[in-house]
Amino acid sequence: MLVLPTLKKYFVFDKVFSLLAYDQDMTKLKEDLLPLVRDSYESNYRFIFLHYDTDYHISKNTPGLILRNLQKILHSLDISNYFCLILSQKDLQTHLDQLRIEETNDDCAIACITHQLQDLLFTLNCDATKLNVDSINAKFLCLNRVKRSHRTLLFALLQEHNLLDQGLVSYGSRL
Amino acid sequence: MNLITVQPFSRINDNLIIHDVRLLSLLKHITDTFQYSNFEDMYDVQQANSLLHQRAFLHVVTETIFDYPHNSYGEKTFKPIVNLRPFVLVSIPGALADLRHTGFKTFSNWWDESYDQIQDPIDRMLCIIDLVTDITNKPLAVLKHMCHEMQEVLYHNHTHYYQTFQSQELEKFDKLCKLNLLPR
Repeated sequence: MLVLPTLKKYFVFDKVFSLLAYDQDMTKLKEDLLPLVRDSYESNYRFIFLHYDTDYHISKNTPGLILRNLQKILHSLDISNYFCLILSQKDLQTHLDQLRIEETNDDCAIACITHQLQDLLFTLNCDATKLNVDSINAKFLCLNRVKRSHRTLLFALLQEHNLLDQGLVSYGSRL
Repeated sequence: MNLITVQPFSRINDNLIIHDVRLLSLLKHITDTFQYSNFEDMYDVQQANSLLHQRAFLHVVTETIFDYPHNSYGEKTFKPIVNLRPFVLVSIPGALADLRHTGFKTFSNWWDESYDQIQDPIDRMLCIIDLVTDITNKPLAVLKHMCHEMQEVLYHNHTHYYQTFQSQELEKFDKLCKLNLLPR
């Protein structure tokens, strides 16, 4: 984890919780947090949560369900938001502020530190160091291996515009 | 405590609502089991395979999210960058602007990038397909020449990704952690 040395520099914590691991059953998160609940914490103690995956949103203006469940769990365990920190590449603070009001009587919201330091972004293997235009034999590349509704629409539009033969295109080759 | 569950799991991003009847008819023949590939696809999430990625001029990057409340980059956005290729981002509105904000350069000197500011997802997608059509209508020799013209931007992005992006983000992260310790 790229961010771990910095987290250790500033905070005391027992564990970093990846919310993706609790995606299908958030009651398990409550079980895992329970042994860490104490009457008091050092001022720099934090419960740290990673939230890099997509959430479940009823509408664009409402917080995601994973975030709402997290707030409910913390409140039920009497863990103050002050000691909680979410790391995400998304700016979730507005939704966290909203959840504080809707789900708790806490003085402050869970804090979100927005950053782009997901390990996956910095470990790309590529041997290209020089611009090579001689290798170009297709006008575009469009990879849509995992099906999503916007990729389906894009693929259908590429097909309708007779563009598939001009590029390198995949669709739906991975579940 | 009542936790909210969604059965079956659904995400707003995966339920792009299409009002246009013509677009809906386009989607009819794409069944759940439909697959397509016009090249040998050796998938590896961490491999920005230059043999594949450098075969094409333009990368039409379809990010995981398109109709979603927050921006979020995946490794897909950075594959054209490490391969020194221009790109169009099929992502949420403002995704290109956010990328510029982190120090990368985009391609407004060569084509209209206003698709990035279109809020309506269908209008944005139609604008993107028009742009891809315009670019694709140019002869391959013209696109190769354009790629040469872009080299300052392409090298800037490549260097920024490998040499400064990570340290810049670590520096920002350090400051935000420090701020988090202040009384709230």
